[in-house]
Amino acid sequence: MSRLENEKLLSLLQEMMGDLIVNHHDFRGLLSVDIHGKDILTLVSCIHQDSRLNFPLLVDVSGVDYLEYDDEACLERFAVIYIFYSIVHDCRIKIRAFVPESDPAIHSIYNEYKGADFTEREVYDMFGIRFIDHPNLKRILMPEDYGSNPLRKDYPLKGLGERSQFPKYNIYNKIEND
Amino acid sequence: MGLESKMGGIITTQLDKVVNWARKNSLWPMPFGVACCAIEMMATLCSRYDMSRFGAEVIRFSPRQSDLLLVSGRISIKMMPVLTRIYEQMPEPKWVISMGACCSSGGVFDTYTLIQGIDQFLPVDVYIPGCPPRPEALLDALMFIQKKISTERIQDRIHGN
Ligand code: SF4
Repeated sequence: MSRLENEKLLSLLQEMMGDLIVNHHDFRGLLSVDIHGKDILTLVSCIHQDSRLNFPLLVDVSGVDYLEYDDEACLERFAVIYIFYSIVHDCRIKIRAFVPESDPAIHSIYNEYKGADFTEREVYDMFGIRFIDHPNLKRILMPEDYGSNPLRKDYPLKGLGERSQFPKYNIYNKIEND
Repeated sequence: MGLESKMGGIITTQLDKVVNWARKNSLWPMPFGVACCAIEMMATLCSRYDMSRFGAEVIRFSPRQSDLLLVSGRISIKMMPVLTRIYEQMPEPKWVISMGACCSSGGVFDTYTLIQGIDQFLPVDVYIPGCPPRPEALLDALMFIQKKISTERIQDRIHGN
């Protein structure tokens, strides 16, 4: 099959999704589509199951914090970014799903793409965005009792003291107490 | 514990010398290499720098068979309990070398996830500066440990002081 051009891809998507697609732009040949977080499952199942689109490969899931970001295109504070790749059409698509700060939650796409398992857990760990219906949603990089979400913009680079305020115990005292 | 717990208050200067001589010339390192510094550590162990010239060539990957903990690399908050457990498993007497800037002070990684120096939770005997330290520096640290061992008394190690 031949390469799917971005205009064609976009018109197909718009035909299926209607005005759920809030915004779109094309940057250096990569089509990027903005939606609200609640519509993610609809869009992802279109992309996965429709034979004209045919995107079988999930490349990445990542998160962005748009705190203090001055851009009309940013609908909410957080966004989850999905990149899909179509092997037959040799093209990529980027989906940006905005998630509100008041309730940072979005549906997991694990049922469509099993590869989303670890990447969604990473976004959960780093940004505190919950993925509804994820089978095993827990921290993947930081220790499980780590209280914060390090990649949020309002989290200081040096942390909130987690790196020095752990329970210190004297190894030799422990021996003497035994 | 072994020999030292039987010693009581006996004056054992000559015995100290013999035991220390044996200990310092057959250190069994436990390598804890978690980052780039470990590459220099491996170079030190290999034929060009050859740590076996100082009696410390038998690398044990089991802490229960070693008496020198060689920590080289970045230790994160998540790694800390692992390293503590490894240290606890080593039998007395034991010594610790903190190799490299990251391990000794956090180095350039002044971030939320890295412990800023393993001396926050382990008693370190020798710090090696450098990023990474050269193999000669590691050999120097080893000789420093040997020097330190030769000044110790057996009783000092009864409660690990
Ligand atoms: S001190 Fe330098 S070489 Fe050693 S672990 Fe840190 S960054 Fe790597």
